[in-house]
Amino acid sequence: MHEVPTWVKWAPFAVMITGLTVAWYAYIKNPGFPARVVAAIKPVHTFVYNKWYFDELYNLLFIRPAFWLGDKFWKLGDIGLIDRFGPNGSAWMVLQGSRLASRLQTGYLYSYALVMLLGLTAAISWVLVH
Amino acid sequence: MMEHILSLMLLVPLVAGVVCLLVSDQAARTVALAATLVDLALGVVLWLNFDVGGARWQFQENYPIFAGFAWKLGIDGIALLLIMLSVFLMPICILASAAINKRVGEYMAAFLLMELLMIGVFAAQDLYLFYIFFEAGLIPMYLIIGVWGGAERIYASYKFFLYTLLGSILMLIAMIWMAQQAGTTDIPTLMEFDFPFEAQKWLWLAFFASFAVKMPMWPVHTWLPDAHVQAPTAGSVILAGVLLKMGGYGFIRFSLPMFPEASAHYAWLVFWLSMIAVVVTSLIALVQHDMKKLIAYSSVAHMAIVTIGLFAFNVQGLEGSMIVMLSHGLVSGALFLCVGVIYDRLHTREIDRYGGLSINMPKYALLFMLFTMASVGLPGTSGFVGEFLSLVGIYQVSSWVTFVAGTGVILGAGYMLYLYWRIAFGVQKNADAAAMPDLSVREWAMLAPIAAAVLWMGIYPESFMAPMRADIAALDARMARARPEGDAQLKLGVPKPHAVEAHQGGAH
Repeated sequence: MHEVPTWVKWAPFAVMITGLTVAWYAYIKNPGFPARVVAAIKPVHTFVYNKWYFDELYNLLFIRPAFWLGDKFWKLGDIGLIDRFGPNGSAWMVLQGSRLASRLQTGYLYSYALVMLLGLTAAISWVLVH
Repeated sequence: MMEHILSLMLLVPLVAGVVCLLVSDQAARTVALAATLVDLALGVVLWLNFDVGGARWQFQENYPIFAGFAWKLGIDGIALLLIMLSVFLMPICILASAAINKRVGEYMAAFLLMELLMIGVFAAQDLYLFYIFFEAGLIPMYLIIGVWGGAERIYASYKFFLYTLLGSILMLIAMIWMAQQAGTTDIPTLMEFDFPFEAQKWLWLAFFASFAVKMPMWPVHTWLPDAHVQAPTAGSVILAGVLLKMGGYGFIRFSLPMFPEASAHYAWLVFWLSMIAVVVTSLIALVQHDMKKLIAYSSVAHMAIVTIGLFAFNVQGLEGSMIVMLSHGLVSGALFLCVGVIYDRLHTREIDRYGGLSINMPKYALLFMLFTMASVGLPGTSGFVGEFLSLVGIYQVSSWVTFVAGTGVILGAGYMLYLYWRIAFGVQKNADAAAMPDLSVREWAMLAPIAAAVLWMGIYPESFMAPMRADIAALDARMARARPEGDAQLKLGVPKPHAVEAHQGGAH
């Protein structure tokens, strides 16, 4: 604390006195003063009055992208990709496979006989070739 | 009695479950509540008689049945706490089932069977016995969702069943191979058995297939939101509270101690899946319109913090993961109960149909806020202790994983506070929601004990860390030889000469 220059120690007091004087002038002595200042520096006032548009910036930078990403991850990722090709996809495969298998089971003796004949021919030709 | 207390805890729900099938609806409710309370009392006796710092395995029972298969039970501190969680949540689940009015006896029997199987999973010391309990748990949960669930219950229950079963088949094959190789099915012996590294990698993957689905880890998590949304309230509580913890317990009991080298080998696979889960499922939770789906997605994100902590290969990570599991069991269970409380009144889970509930339901809003804050991880609640320890643990391994996991905490605050704001604050835009009465005595009896436990775990976590300290240390020692090098190589710097002088010279 010893090394700090004296003016630094007095600075807060000076700032307080300045603020007190300006506040006294603007709100007690001459109440029309703030409105005139605002009119003179309109853009700066609007900017500061809207908190530097920090909420809007935050909304644009973080909130909207987060919601957009969440929506995409959910509808395209979880539902569109994982569910579609994972559980629902494998269920679909089983269904199609069993449809195909049931189509082969015609119940006609001659079609079974044909398959047997084809199998027998295939087996014999395999033995002959080797 | 003490040497058979675990078998007794399994017997009580079994007998009560059979009784529930035979008696009237009202009697079934009473029998179920009484049985679960008896099991809770037995659990308290178990905890009081557990010798902290004593033998590693306590309350052991061993009755060989045939061909090496044995009725072999026993617990360490980790299993003790998970059993306590199960028996604590069960009476609350029975109380939460007042709205169930079809097939009450069968419903209560399914829950009691569930309780038996949950305790069995955590108490089993025989590999095959564990498998039976682990897999049989599917059956009552499948029935609970499929019979007493919502409109899409059939799709949800099949999805749950097929997902979980697929992973478990691979685990069974790995178990058979292990039993052949090691010549024993005794879990404590297997935890010390050194499998060759090449075999470890295959075994690890087979177990991972099962535990990752149970946990659930991204991308095999999509059964969870559907199952939660369709399950009755009590089913959601058990699903989130205990069933998800079986995956984490599996990692602690099997993957890490039995295959330490393979765990280190695949640690980054776990880290990557967990990091994706933390960010992706948190963002998905943010956009949900269905309360239960939101909490279900938040569960996936919280479980990712658990897996990150488990594979940190150090004491803090392991302890943190255990506390996150216990905390999440309480908190997500309580959040599902909170959803159930208002669902019973308005019969919708649509967030937009509520609003301003802090005006007409102040007591509800208070408890709901406590659980929201615990889910976010506010200091003083159980969520903070676990998440903090997990992140400290993983920080020793990788700062980047910690960074990504940390965003999960921020996003968690985002989606939970957004949920709370939409339900409890704002204007009462729906007249029917504004007319809902506050908590009944029964609902107080459900939520207040959980609130007390959440605060206890948040303010004095030592009660929960002491029983498992020795077990975590043993696990840490077991895994030490495979511990991966961390990226944070902190060392003490050498101060500059003038700074040393200034420091020693005039200290003001």
